Amino acid sequence: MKNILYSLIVLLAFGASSCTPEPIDIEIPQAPVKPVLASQFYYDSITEQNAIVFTLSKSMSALDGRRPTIDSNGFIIDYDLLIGGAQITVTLGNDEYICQEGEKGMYYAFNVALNNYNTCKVDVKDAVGKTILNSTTVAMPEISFSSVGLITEQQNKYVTYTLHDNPSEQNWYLVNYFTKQKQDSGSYSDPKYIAKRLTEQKLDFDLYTDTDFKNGTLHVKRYLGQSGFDTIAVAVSSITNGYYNFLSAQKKYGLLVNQIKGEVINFPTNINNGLGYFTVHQPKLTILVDED
Amino acid sequence: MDMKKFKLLFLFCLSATLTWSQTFISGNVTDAATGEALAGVSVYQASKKLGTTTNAYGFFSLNIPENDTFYVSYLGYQTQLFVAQKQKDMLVKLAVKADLLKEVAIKAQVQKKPPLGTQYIDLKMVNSLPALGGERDLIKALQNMPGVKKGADGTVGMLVRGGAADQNLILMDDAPVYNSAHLLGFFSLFNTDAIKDATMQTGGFTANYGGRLSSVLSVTMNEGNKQKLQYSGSVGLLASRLAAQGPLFKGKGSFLVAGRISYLNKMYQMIGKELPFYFYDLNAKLNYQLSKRDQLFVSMYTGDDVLEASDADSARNIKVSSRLGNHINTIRWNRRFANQKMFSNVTVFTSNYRYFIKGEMDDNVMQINANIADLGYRFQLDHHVNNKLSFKYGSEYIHHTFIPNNTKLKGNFNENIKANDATSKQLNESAIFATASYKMNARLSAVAGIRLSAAQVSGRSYINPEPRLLLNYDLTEKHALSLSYSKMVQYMFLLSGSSVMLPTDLWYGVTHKIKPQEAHIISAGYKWQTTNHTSRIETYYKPMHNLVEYKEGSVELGASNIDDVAVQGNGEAYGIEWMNTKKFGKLNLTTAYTLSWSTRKFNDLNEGKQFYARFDRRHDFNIILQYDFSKRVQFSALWSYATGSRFTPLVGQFMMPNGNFTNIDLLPIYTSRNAVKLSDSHKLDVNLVIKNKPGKKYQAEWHIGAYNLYNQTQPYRIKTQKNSDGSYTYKQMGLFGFIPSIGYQFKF
Repeated sequence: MKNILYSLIVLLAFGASSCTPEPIDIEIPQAPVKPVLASQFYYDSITEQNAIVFTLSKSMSALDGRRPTIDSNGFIIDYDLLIGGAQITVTLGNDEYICQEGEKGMYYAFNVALNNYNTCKVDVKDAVGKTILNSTTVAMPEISFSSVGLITEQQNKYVTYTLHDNPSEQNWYLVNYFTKQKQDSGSYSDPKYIAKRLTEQKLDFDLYTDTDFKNGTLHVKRYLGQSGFDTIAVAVSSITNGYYNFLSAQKKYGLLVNQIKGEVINFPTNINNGLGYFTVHQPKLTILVDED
Repeated sequence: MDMKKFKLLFLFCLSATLTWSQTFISGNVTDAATGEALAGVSVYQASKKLGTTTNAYGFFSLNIPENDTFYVSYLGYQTQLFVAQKQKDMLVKLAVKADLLKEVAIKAQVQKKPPLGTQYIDLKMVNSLPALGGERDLIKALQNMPGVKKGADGTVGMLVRGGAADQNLILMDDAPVYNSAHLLGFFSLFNTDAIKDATMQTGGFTANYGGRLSSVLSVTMNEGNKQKLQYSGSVGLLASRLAAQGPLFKGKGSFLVAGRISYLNKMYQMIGKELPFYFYDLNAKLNYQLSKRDQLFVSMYTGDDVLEASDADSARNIKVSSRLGNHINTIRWNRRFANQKMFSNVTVFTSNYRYFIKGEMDDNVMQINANIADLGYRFQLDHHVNNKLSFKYGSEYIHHTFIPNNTKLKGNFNENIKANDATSKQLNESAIFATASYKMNARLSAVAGIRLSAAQVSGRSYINPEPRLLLNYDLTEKHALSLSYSKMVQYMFLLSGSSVMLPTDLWYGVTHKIKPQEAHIISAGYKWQTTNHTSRIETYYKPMHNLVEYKEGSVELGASNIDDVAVQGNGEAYGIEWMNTKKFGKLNLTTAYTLSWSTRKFNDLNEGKQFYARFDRRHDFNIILQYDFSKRVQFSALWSYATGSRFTPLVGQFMMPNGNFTNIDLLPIYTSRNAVKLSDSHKLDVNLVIKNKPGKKYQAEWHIGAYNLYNQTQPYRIKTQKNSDGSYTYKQMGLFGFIPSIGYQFKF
């Protein structure tokens, strides 16, 4: 019996060690390279300045090993993927703004005048004046929390807030959480400052729609972590259905469940001839200081 | 009276005389050694070509001319010859034939062949086939049939005639089985020690079955030996089985208990690896003869897959446990009516599939429960009117209760995991059905039926008539043509991701928004059969409507509100299947080939464009060789080839700031859905069976085998892999290479 058992174990060990078959190569044509546009309406409640900020880049092969990220100064490291020298024109209602280029691939226009539900257009031309992409969206109105606060329970930080929704229309909401928003000597005329300010803000975002509201009201107690921060900035925005879907996909794509399942998520876009998303929404920022 | 009228009168009297001279026989056929009822046994009068087969409970009835001889014949048993006398309540005991090879020849002459689209599964063949890790598996044997596609390598997923994995109605003693797999799909839940017989329909559906679009697999558990106490079992590398059966109540009843447990976790521990995962299952059945005409069966199945893992090295308290399994109970009552022309079966059952996952990290605890529980009955009356006409009618009802996802959280969690106090949802599914089998003449016969099915959910009811028709035309003794049409309606569905099926994928029912799935299956076939050679070709066309898939980007552990995450669309499948079985002395050769197409079209997926189904494999070819070196040594080999399945790979990526505009996410660009065909797969599996001397009380068999003998990759997905120079390439990954196995089976 001992011999039989020994033989079984040897066989299993042999089987287990030899049972990984050699992977087979396959060639798959890559998606064509396309320009990618991202936009953000940015408002600083301390400096009381606003800016509409664009990043313009290009897509790459799935076999490209580069992993672009932001360095400590707030710049996208891989400059090859950024498109510089472009001309970005934003039309907000009757006003037209020509964006300045800060760092390569980052474009901005200061102190733009937004009118609720105005049609907003963006047109991007390359260095020789040829249109490479364009898009249209709607400027969403600014909204506010009905109440918002910061609480600490056993060293756990929570933000609590209440939102009200008009049940007669369909709405989509974005709530952002930032950890830092201190006044300093920087200026938005310095493009490096914008990037620096953006990267200081580390937390997360949530998405809501009408089905999350009960009788037109949403109460949230959101866990933010245990870190030693004492100042939280919370912003709420009304966004379009399309941008809501884009952000939902972005959020789900990073989930562990999705990594396990390898579920296919194709990202929606409102960019003609390109990828990404053009949005003009107005975050209403509230600074919360933990008095404890 | 003129001559013409005289002739008519003469013919009438003659036919009446012929009718009066016929006698009615009925009875049951059992295994002489065990007393168990035998289904599908042929009762046949050769010269006048009159015949029938026993039903699932071994009962038959037939009109044949008095004093004519008739056969009772069954594969692997000695054929018995009888003289027809007016005889009811016959009890025919068939003894196992020692020399099976000769028996097959007799069987081929007299046994009724399965109709178009139906297969009687030969469990002896299942037992002799090569298998992954040496574990014999009913469903993996079925995957070698034409029209049945495999899922990923080594798994028990069945995709029949272009359908999805949830479109197969799997019944165990008439109760539905929701998850037919163990260990992430690599083993089926059917313990071959506990199975008596199995029948599969892939087309030409009879009206007594419904509720799924693509196939019906009906598995009957062993009733237990009525003659003597018997033990059987096996010891293998991955699992062991043990079964006991014997008589009860002075021969009026019998019992069966069969258990199985895997010990892959223990074996891995012995070689210093960790796989904290195992499964077990238990089948039990009891039957009791209430009276000469009444029989009662009680059966149960319970089985679980268990995961218990903890991170002992971590300073934090991290534990993960899960348990998922099926629990099935049935009570069946068979009755033969006094006129011997009617036979009824009533089954009351419960079927429960549930999973439980618990994750703990320090004081944070997450628990997810999901459950589908059925309570139902099934009633069927078989009515033999005469040799030309018989009916089956009946009804069934199932009350489904779902708890899709009940999530409880204690502590602090990321907002992506939300507590969900999901309340149970109910669905009532019912059907009435009637089928008439009519032999129009010596060549042409028809089985026509109608099934009226219904489902009722909160706020909405669905009613669907499902007509069924099967025509058989015998061109000659050896050649036959068939034609069938079936409308199938499915009220339950399983939502799986587009890439991987997981045991945690959940069953849901139709809602006021999600409509029932439908399929219309048209098939035609040609069959040629001689003593040692059977060949059949079938072709089918199957349009499908209201198929259900996840809305893109809706993948979750499970969704409690299915209306939010599911989309519906259509599908189309068509193909041609060929199966050939030929005996050359001691060699038995079976080949099966399928050429097929399967597509889907959803308005909300793939930009509304048509796409191929995930397992749309154009060609599928299997060849099974079985050779008897002697009565003690048998060899079998299975070579299978299949066109690659479909995949949706990543073909690009782009940078996008995250929702806070504070960092960069790298987002994917995919091909259109299932646009890339994986490389073709092929492999050779072999198995050698060595038995001890025949006739001994203690019967033993050694099974020595190998899976994927030449270690060929069976691609199931594509991943990008980093090369040593930092560049990336695409690789197609396989699951299992060469795996040797050894097992020991015994019976006494």
